[in-house]
Amino acid sequence: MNIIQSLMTRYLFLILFALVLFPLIPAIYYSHLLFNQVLYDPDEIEDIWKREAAQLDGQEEEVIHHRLQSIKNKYPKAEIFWINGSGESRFIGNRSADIPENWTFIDSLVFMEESKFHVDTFLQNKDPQKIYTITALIGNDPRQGVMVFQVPITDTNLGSITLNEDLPFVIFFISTCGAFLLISWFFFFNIRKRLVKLQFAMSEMGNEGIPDEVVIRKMDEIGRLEGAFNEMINQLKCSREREKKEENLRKQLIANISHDLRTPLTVIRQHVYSVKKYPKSSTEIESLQIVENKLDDMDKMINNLLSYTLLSAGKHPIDMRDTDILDEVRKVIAEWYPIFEECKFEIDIDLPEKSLIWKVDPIWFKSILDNLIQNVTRHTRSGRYIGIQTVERFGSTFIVIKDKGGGFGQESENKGAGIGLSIVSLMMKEMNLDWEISTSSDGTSIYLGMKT
Amino acid sequence: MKLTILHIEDDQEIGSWVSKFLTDCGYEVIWITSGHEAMKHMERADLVILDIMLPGLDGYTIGQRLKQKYPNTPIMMLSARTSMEDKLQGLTFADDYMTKPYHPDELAARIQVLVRRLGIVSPEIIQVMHLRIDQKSNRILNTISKTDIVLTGKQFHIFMYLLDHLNQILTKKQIYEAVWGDPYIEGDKTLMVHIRLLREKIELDTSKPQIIETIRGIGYRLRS
Repeated sequence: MNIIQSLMTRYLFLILFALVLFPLIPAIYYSHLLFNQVLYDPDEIEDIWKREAAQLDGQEEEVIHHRLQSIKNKYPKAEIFWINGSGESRFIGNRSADIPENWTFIDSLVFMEESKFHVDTFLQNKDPQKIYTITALIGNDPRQGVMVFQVPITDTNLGSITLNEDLPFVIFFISTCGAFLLISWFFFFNIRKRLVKLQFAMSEMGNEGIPDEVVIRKMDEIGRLEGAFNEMINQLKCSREREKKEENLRKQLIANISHDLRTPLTVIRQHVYSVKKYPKSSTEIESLQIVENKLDDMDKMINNLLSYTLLSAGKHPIDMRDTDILDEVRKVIAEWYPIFEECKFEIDIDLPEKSLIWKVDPIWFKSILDNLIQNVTRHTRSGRYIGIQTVERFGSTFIVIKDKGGGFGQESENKGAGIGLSIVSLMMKEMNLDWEISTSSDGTSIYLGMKT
Repeated sequence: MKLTILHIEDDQEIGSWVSKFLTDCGYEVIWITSGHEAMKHMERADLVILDIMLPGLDGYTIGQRLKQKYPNTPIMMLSARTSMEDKLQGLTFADDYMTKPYHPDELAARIQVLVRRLGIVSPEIIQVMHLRIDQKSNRILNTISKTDIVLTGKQFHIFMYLLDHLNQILTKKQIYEAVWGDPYIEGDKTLMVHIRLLREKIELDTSKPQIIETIRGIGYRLRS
């Protein structure tokens, strides 16, 4: 992955941009103030002023004037004047209207008070002093006079930091912050959007219950995640296909085995039939009957094996629909009736003449009934009884199949591995039906009903 | 006239036995071991017995082709393929599906049912207890009193439907829907009334019906 395309690089770049930009903006904005010398340093001036005052001790008025003039030349924005020992003002350059020509004692006091520079006032007052004033006694002697240096605060480096008066800068700064926020938001919004899209793609099921692949637009970390996701989907699809192929092969194999087993059984049955037609003795008839019965058993076993394999693999076709269950039960009994009669069973059918609608697959349901009824005819011949009725249990109608055989504990000559009941169990579960077996040595009752 | 059955079965042992069995049952049998030649025998065949696992074209394909060209010739699948899917696929075109190992008597009975149901043989006279039914002229004769039994339209329909399914138990719903053509509503007494009236005409003793038997909780059966 290209390092420039990395989300981390872009994020670091964004942060770096912010870190550098915030101090840089004011620095650039005020660079002209910082680097040119137009602002006067009050401390430096004060030093010069005191030093000059001391040096002018006892000097002639001309010398003082000349000296102050040279200072004025150095600081042209400043207003400089001095008051001699007699209280008269001597201006350097133009005379300021605020300054009296002659000074009384009161004038001096008022002037001193007004022009005194209060740091606290300057920082806190909303309307600070506009003029910065420095005074010094010439030769440190009040009788020789006072020299005064006045400069607007804005021309000193004291007054240049008042942000609240610098609206363009404030607007520019806020806009820069806003832009940064916007870029950051856009950056994360973009990431979030892509993650949400990916999440949606992961949870949205496509064909065969597998999510579809996503389109990779950027090769950053999320792009790589999308790539890995696509890879996973491909593997899943391959494995599903392989599984399907294997299942089909297995299904085919079972179907073929079942077919190949039935073919010799068919031949055996045909020949048993031929021999039975012209029996030589009653023992022969008996033996042939046993062979035929065993053929039937084997046929059922192969059938059950096939059904069970298909059912457990979820490959038995199912078509659930509203079905009149009592009608289905009647049709199944009608088919079995001749066999009950042949076995001399006492038949006790008690089904109400009403509709009982369950959502089932009719073919599966018939298969369940066939299986259960077949068990009765195979294992409970001694009881010679079959009862098929409806009963009310737990507030809903159940169908009960009863026999008077020896129960499940009894050893039956025809007992198998119970695969028939396993099939019933699987089918009942699949169709969301409830069933219960109540068995004792007096007989067995199997209840079938809708799950509540 | 002998009916001709086209039997398509590749297994020599099964094929030869079935052919002999059906010949003994009074049919003329053409036995072929693959579907390639099936079409040329179809002109003569009244019924087809078809296996699924055949060399070359399978039974489904052959069956579909035969049915498409000869829709009136009944096809019975006789196969060792027993899964529900196979049966359903087979019954999309076939008229019956029987699985191996089959009972030869059942095979013969099913062939008869197919032949009767599809009207391949001309109607014949059937004897049920003391009744002689001439299906050609739709007459029912009481052989004891030597008189014709006159039935109403519905009674006749019910009787003939039961006769078509001789010895088979039919549910009330099956009979009602076949005769009336309407959906049956559980508890409806119409059929019961008609059966009672029918019995009065055909039974010797209506308190002990011998011909139309009531199967309690299920329906009725016409006993031969």
